[in-house]
Amino acid sequence: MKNRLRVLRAERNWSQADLAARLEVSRQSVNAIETGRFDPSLPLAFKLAKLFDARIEEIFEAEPAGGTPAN
Amino acid sequence: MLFSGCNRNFSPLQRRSMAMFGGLMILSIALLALALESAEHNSVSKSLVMVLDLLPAIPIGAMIAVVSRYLTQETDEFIRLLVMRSLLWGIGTTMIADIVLAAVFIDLRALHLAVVYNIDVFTITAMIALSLQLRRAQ
Repeated sequence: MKNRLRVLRAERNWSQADLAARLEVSRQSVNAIETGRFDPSLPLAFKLAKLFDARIEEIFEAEPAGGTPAN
Repeated sequence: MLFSGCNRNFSPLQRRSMAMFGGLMILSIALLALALESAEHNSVSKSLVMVLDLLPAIPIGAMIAVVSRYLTQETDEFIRLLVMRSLLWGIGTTMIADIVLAAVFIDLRALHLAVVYNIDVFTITAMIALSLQLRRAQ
């Protein structure tokens, strides 16, 4: 799944550690989500959407059918 | 323990779980060594040998409970996934090691040693797998 997490984070001048602290997860989790190696659960996706004041589909974009799953 | 070798700040839950897991692992190895020793001495009664043989099951069961509780309480779903993957690596490697051990040693004494060896192989493999995965996620 593609996402705009890195862009949204950069717009706010937040480091991965800052975002991780706001989400109450590890920095590794933020990195894994940003690089597409880990798809967050629905509760975490909602948490991200709330944090960035955006809808989930504005942050995450599904891969086209037949795409390689992230994990 | 499972997270050693990687630079990260541990949560109180992780610290507590690692301390309990490590303590129980040492206790189970000590009890297994005691069972092995008692089995080799004819002076010890058969019923006591059986009790000593069964005793290590308690800390091993408690280790499973500690990991289970940790996985239930860990709020970071990515770390939870890495821990579960590492545990699978640990279990898989232990099973392979058992097959190799069974092929090499056909000895009753090896049965006791295999359990001690299982705990070591499982824990060390899980630690290495988790360290590597966390390093990859940096």
